[in-house]
Amino acid sequence: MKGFTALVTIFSLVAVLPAQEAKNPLQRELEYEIMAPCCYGSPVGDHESEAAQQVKVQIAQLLAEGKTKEEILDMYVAIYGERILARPRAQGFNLMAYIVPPLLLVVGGLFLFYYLNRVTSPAARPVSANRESYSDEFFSKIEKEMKELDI
Amino acid sequence: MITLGAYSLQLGFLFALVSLGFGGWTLARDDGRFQVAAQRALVISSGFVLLATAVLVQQLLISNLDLEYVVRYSSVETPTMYKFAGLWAGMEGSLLFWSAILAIYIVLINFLNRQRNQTLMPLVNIVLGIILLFFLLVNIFFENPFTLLPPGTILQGSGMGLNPLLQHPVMLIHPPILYLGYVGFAIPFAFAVAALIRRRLDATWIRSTRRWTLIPWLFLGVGIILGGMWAYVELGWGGYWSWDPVENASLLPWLTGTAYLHSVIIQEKKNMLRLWNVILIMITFILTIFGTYITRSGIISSVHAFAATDLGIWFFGFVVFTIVACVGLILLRWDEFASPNRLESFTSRESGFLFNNMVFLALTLAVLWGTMFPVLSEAVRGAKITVGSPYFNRITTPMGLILLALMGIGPLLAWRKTSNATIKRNFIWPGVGAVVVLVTGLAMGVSSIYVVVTLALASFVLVGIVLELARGIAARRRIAGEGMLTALLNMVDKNRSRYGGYTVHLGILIMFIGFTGKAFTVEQDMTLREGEKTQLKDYVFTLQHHYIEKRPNHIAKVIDLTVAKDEHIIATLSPEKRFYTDSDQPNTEVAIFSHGLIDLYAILGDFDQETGVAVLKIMINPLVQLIWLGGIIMVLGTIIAILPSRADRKLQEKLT
Amino acid sequence: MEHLIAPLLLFLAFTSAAYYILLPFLTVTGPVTENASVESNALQLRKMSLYKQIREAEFDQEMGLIDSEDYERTRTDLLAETAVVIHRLEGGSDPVQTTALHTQPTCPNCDDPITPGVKFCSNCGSQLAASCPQCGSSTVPGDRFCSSCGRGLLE
Repeated sequence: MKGFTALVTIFSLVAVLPAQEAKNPLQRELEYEIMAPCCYGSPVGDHESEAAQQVKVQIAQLLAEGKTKEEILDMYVAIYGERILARPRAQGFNLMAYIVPPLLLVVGGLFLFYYLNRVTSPAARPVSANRESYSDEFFSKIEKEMKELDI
Repeated sequence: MITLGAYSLQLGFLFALVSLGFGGWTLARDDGRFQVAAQRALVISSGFVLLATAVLVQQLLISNLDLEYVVRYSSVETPTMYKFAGLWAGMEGSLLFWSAILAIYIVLINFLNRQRNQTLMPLVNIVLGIILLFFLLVNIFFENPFTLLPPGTILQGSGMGLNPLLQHPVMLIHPPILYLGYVGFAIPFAFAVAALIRRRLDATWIRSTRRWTLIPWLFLGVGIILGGMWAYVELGWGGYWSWDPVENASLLPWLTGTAYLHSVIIQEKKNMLRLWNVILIMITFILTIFGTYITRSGIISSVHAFAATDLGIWFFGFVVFTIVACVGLILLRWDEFASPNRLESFTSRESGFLFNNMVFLALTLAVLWGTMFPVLSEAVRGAKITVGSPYFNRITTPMGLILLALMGIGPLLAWRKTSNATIKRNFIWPGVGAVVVLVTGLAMGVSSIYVVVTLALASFVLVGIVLELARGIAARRRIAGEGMLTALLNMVDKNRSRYGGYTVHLGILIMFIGFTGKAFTVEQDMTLREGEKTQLKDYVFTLQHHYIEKRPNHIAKVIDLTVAKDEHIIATLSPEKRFYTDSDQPNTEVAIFSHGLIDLYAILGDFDQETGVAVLKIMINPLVQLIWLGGIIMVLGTIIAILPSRADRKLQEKLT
Repeated sequence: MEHLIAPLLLFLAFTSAAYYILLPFLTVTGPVTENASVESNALQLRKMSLYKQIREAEFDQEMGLIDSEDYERTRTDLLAETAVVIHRLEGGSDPVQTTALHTQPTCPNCDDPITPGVKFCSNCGSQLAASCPQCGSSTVPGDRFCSSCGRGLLE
């Protein structure tokens, strides 16, 4: 129960910290949708380089001009190509990127249900041995050995 | 000395070949003399590989600038402890390091099995010999670390030095540990292949490799966590995992390895899943080689990858060869897999393990899919795309949560069949724990639903583990009349895999709580002059000084930033911006102060010497500490499971 | 002189290694036969695993994780397998009719005890034994081949 109390404490600790003040939530979202155009290694939100800084400033300006998220993303794609997006758009072939993982889970789950159904069918169920069929000698023998081996 | 290194590498290659020659003979005719000769040749080959590695380390330590490798990855000024790191800084050295670790495993496994597993060992040695041979081949003919600088080269300075990013204490242990994990999976893989060839697919090979699976699994896990730690303290973006292809490559075998650790329990207990376990360990091994391929080939751009070379094709070839060989072997021995697969019920521990396996495998394939998708998409559509961390977070979070839930549910189910009464009794308190956290979270208005669900599930798992331990201790006190602590220790010793496993689960759930901290990160970019203050949350940061320090291989710009809370100064943060003179590279040194579970994290952009204006970024990262704590608990749990119990030791005495 | 040291060392290392590898061919005359204890070691390990499972079941029962009916069944099955393993460790060949294990045959359909040799269960009436159409020896329903003459029984 002690651990449980600790968990609740941790929980309240993080809960009182409101997430991301100061920054416009849309700004933050966009910073993680656009890659840093210097090395394409990480989104601008996680990247410390001049190019990344510039993009952050640009995003702020564009948002101030009243552009929507989609418009801003379109602008970046027009300039740098699709590579600038931190994740592919869910359209055309790239839809596959989003469909396949959940599909794996569904197919795997169905297969497992089929498998479990087969191996747990009454015909496959193992027949239990009869308890009365062992001698006391046998019981005491293995009990003794188990004690000896400290199991 | 250089000649010694170069020749011992070649002798290592030669003796590996000899060993395979003798080994191949034993395949055709079971002659024990050839087996012994093959074993000895392989051990000697390993000895030469280790000698070659020692020579390279010695050359790095004395900074012999005749050697091209030393010039490129070290320098006279590199601090001595980082001269060691030169061994894995470059392609040639890191391949040699790979072989050296395999060599250590080969020597160990042959020594420990000198009396045991006599039927499997000759074949194990053949498999390990083939792997060693491949790496030595690449090392000698394509990436030889003992290449001399072309005569007449005029050196500027005293070597290019170690990449500044690698000059961090964590980087001294992260690569060796990761490699120990990567390479170590070759051992259970080799045993699986041997058992397959010898038609000994009962649980014996699994039992003899139990420890040899736990050890690489532990090293790989620790290596991954240390990698995250290094990224957090050195790369300066305030995160620990960026779903970079190379990070993914190390995660993949860990995931399948974890699935394997669970599924072998069923084979040990029920003699089921023979085929599945063989396939899982094969996949795990193939993924380690595949990871090496991704890292070395430059096929996917990554910050970690070594310079792109034409080596890729060789590794790709080896991956294909391994896959074909594995599939072929399985088909050849197909008749061996007909085992009586019987389960009593859906609601059993067994089926819990099966679901765990399914989700782990789906997660592995999903991460693999995302990692390879840019290549696939470019091949199909011709346009370069990025599949970055936002994609992976979106895809893997739900699967991670399913696994977290299974981690809680599985241990509450009984083996064979769980009656409804038992389910009710076992699930009620963990369920209450989860609901309480869920309701508290929603009432407190936590913005992210994932965070609330994660914490609720973590609470479910935690209550389950605590209850189980409490019940166990109570039971032992009833049976044996022992005191609290004795009862706990005896209980753990009687069933080390079970309680080691629970401890690992505890570590994992603490890490999951740590992951949720990301949602509460606060950060701010700012410019400060000396004496200026800024406030972020409850903390007031004051820029006290800025100064420049000259050190052996770099020049550091440093600022001292005091942190105050409630008018009390609690810490001084000194982030640095360094310029390495040997390698001509800049680097940032993050300053971190952990205030309880909250990390105060400062990164210096730069400062202007004359105006005294400093550009910096401050982050407040809560709960990251829990990830490292969870890692430590995971290590403890694995050690509990690895160490032999009193009963194991007694049996050992009896058998020998 | 100095440039000769490394090749010399290597040559020495090479020859001694080669000698060490070839030594088994000089000393051992015939093929080394396989260690006979392999099989029994495997059985010992299996027995240990079963013992551990028995203890685990006992402990789960004591902890209240499983109810007594599940426990009885689990334990009985584990004991049955243990008996077989012990019998084989003691040198028996076929895992039936051991000194330790007095098996009473039961009807596969209703679990009622039956007398060996009878053809139908006295409790539920299901067929217990049949005879092979080729050699006439008795077979068990569900067998795919006759254990005496090998004739296929699935018709």
